[in-house]
This record gives sequence, structure tokens and C-alpha cells, in this order.
Amino acid sequence: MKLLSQPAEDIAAVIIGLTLKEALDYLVKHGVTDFPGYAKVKKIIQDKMNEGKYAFVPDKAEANQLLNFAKNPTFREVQILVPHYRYIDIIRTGLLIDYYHRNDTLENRQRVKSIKIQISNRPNSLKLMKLIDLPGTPFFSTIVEYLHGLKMEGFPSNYLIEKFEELIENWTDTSMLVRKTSNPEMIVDFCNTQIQKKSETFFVLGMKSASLLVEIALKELTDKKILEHNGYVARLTKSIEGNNPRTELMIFLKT
Amino acid sequence: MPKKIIFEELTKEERTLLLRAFDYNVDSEGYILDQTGSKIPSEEAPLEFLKVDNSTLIPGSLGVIDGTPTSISKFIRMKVEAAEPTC
Repeated sequence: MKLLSQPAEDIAAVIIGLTLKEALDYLVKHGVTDFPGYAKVKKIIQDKMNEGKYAFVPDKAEANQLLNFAKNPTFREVQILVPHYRYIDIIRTGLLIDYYHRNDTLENRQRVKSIKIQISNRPNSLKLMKLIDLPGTPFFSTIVEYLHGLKMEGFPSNYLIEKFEELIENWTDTSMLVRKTSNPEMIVDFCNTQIQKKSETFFVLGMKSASLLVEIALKELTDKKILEHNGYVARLTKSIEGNNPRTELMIFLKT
Repeated sequence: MPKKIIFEELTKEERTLLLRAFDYNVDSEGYILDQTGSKIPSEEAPLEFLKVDNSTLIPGSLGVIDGTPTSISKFIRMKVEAAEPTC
């Protein structure tokens, strides 16, 4: 312990008007490393912390970014649809990973690597790693949209969580992102494979010029009655993202 | 908990001092020791313990949690957003 060069009363009089961070900075700069004999100074620090204004984090920009995801409409929807989903904090972390990917710098790439290493050391890491990648894909909003539809149909919250778990577990196998180099036959083949596997729900997504390919494939599936004969129904959603079309095809087994 | 939380960074010395104000301590390897002198286990990584430079210090007297994005997300959800008015 280093003894204070100033009387405790004088130090207390200075730090009482400072923010907690400023007060700690002041104390450290004045050689304070502990509080024995300086109960009043210690109490001021305790009182300032107990105001509950501050949380001290390793990286405040990152913490603020996590806080800002409350404004992300898809994440807000997840919080409303499945508020008690046990890995909801991993989804928020996935949004952070996506943010770092979209703001690609060497530092951000290293940060992504370090976050993924941390998560890979956790129990159930295979599932967590799959989940953390989801918010960075276009299927995130597709899955949330599907859950929203289930809620509108009156399914209870527990069922939504169960369905969400199932979709997350399988999304890498049950979704197809159509490339501009794809063709409608590839989409039909993907759907036939899902039907043979009796997948309960699967998704096809096309953006920009690939958007039209999804519509052509659905027409073929409908004309040949492939979905109807196998007990499936399709829901096509067309939207505009930026200036580009986006077409989502959700196909699910009739219950 | 106030309606708005402010995230801040502290130096290792400032963190140590804040911890000592609440009767925690820090050992020579940088591990945080609770009021009984025990290392604090990580909630996320089995067999790991919290260190002074990469943990998060949260209000509510003084709490110490992992400094990972997932742990900070949990704090935001349970202590910040849960305290926000819904309308």
C-alpha cells in the first residue's frame, strides 16, 4: 500500500465532484492503491458505483455496439417472438460478428477470430458456432419472418422456441441461397431433395438477378404439382432491399 | 439501475482500485479474488477464472462478470433493457 501524500479529507473533497472514472483516475495518479485508513474516500467510490450509471468493460465501443443492436428490427422481432430463448445473447454476439465482417479491417478480423475462439471453448460449441453465423446471413430474417407467421397463426411461445431451435439446428442444410450462376433446375433439385428427406420446413432465397430464378423454380414446382402431391405448401415473399429485388420462398409441410 | 447505462474503460490500476473499494482484490497473476479470497470462476469457460483486465465490472453494489460480448449482451438484456420502460 502506498500512503497518500495528501490528507484523505482533501482527496475526498476533490473526488466528490468528479465522475467515477475521473475519481479513479485522480486517485491512481496520486498514488492511491488501496483504502486502509481512508474510509471516506472508499465510501465516495462505493457511492459513485452504487449510482448504477457505469459498467466498466474491456472495450466500450464494442459494448455500445451491442447495446445498439436493440434497434436492429430483426433482433427486436426475435426478442419479441422468443424472449426466453436460452441463446439469445449468442444471437446478439452474432450481430456483432456480422458488424465486424461488414466493417472489414485487420483489427476487426482478429477480433472475430478471438470471439470465435472463446465460443469454441464453451460447452455445446458446435451449436453455438452455427448460431453465431446465422445473423450474418440473409436467412436470419427469413427464419424470423417464418416464426412471425407462426405467431400470427396463434402458435404458443414454447412452440416458437422449439421451432426456432429446430430451424437453427438445420438451417445450413435446409436453406439454399441462389447464386446468379444458379439455374431453376438446381432450385427444383434442392426442393426435391428436401421433400425426399421429409424436411418440415425449408427455404430458398434469391437476391438481385437470382430473384427471378426463384419464381421460375416455384412455377415449375407448382405446374408439376410436386409440392401438392407431397403435402407441402409454399409461401413466396417478394421485397426490395436497397434497389434490388429479394425473393424468399418458404416451403413447409402441411400440418 | 438507471434507465441509461454508460460503458467506460478503466486502466488495470483503476480497475484494481475500484475492486478494492468493494473488498475484492487482485493476485499477482491478475486474477480477481472475491471478498473471501477466492478466484471467481468464468460463467462461460469451464475451469477458467476472471482476470482484472478482461472482465466487466457492473453496478449493483459491484458485480464482476466475464468481459465477453455474450456476457455483456446478457448484462444488457437482463439489467439494462429489462429496466427500460416498455412504452
